[in-house]
Amino acid sequence: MTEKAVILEVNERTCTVVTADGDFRQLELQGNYRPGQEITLPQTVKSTYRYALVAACLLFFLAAAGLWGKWMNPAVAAYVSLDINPSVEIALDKQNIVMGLNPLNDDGKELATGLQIKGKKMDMALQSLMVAAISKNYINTGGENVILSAVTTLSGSTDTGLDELIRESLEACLEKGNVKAEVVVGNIPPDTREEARKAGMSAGRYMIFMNAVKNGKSVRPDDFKGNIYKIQQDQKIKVKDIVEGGHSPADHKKPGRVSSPVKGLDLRDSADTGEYTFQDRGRSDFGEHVNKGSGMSIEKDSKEKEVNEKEVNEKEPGKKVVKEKETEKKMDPPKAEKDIISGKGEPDGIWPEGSEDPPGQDPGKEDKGRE
Amino acid sequence: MLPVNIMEEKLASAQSGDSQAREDLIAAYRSFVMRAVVKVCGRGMEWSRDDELSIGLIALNEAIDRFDDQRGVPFPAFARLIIKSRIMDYLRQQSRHNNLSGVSLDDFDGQNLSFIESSQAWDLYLQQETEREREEEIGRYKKLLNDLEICFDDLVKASPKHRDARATLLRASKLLSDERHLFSQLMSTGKLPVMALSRLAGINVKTIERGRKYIIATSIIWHFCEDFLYLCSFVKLPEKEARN
Repeated sequence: MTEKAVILEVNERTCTVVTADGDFRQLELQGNYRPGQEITLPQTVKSTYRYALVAACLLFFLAAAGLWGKWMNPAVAAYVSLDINPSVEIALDKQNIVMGLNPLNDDGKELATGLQIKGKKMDMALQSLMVAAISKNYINTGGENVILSAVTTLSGSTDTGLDELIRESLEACLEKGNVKAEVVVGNIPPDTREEARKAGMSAGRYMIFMNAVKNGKSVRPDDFKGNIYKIQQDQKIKVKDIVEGGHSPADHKKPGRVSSPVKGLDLRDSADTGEYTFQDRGRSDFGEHVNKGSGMSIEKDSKEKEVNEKEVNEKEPGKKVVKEKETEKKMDPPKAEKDIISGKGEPDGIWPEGSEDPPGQDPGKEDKGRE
Repeated sequence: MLPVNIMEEKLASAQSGDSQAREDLIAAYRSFVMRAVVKVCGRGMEWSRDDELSIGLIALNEAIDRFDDQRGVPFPAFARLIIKSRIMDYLRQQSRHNNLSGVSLDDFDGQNLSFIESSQAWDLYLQQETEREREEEIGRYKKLLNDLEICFDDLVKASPKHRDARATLLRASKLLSDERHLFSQLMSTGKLPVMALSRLAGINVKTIERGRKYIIATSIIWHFCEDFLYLCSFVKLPEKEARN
């Protein structure tokens, strides 16, 4: 739209004009104007400039808002579940900053009350959790404890070193608090975590449960609620070997005789997801940790090792005889189940519905011994 | 003086052969011709007595034929230039008649003139003349505003940026310029009769107060339309008011 104007007054650098619709304006002087002269206003240029400016501002704010949003609410990079008896899960971003804490059972809720770990670094958050667990007597200061932690990176990669960081943090906490506990840290692929979530279990528990299923034991998910150490005793299993030995539940070829009582847990379907390989790393660590003064008696240790070896054997194909024997032994259900794993309480956004494709798992870590 | 848009309609139909429209135009511009001729000759005129007035009417008729809005000159200004030019011709002829009785170069002179007028020289003359008139007009406008203690910078500040707001003030200023009594009050005291205008236009007193200088400046254009021919025809009133 071109607008015309009549020059009224010419100053040094500006001129005053009146437009055809009666608007008096001051313009920058362009060329040699004389009063009374009729000119065409550079209206379009001006308005496009203005629109461009507005658009630029808008874009800037959108970009800023986007960045701000991203900064304030970064994407979840990993989930770390923690099972003692209370089961909780924390979500971490790329910088290992805690983005949220999700209790997975009633004790988990109890543990989480009053804890402010969102926005803290992971090690500080774990420390707070451990301190809370000790002070609320979830960790038996005088006896045996197992702390099971399952790490799920959403990218699926397992060599992020996150598992080692967690182990170090937890062990440091325990040492400080002068508490004896076995720390078990395992990597779990995102799809397995998702299955666990559907089953209403923590990823760590789900791993043990599925291992038991795989081994043909007649077990119920309920058997894997409650204190991890107790489960270990009741089921006569060694959590460390299961979790750190690289046996993901999706690894099994046969779901066994047990059909899952949990809705949404299709054992056969999950059988072929992903390829998992063993890696026998970190064996040398074993002795070192044992020498650090294990609280267990040698007898007990060796006894456990026996069971352990059996388990390991079972993992090899063609050793079905031992498996049968094991199954008979473990028929009786566990007792003293006081905790119910709750599948609810998913905070918005951080615990999304879907998860990423199954990547290859590389659960390398072997025994590190007990403390 | 006719409102600009009505004048343009009449002009267009007169040019395409509507004799009634032409009669209307000439009737409407009679007094305009009178004032233009008086200005050129520098003495009082009477319709029944002076030939100059007849020549002025003939020139107006010619202006209707020759007017072309592509030139960017408003019709009254164009007509005035033609009238002026014709009167000058006439006066020159008269003086020749008086001085060189007998030998007549008139015919030749006249032909020559009309030849020049139809050529580019006439366009150039018209352009230069209108430029001069425009500049002179703005100068007069500025002086008149200065007498009322208004400068153009004030108007830049006072003129509403929004078209609707401007239309409201322009409506008020048009009413003011038509209201003889109120307008003469403005011109004699230099003060805008805000209350009276507020009642007349049905506009908030505050609005009028705020647009005081703008209303005064524009109402002057409407009221002295003949003196500010270019401005008056350039600045358009909002649609509704232009009809009245």
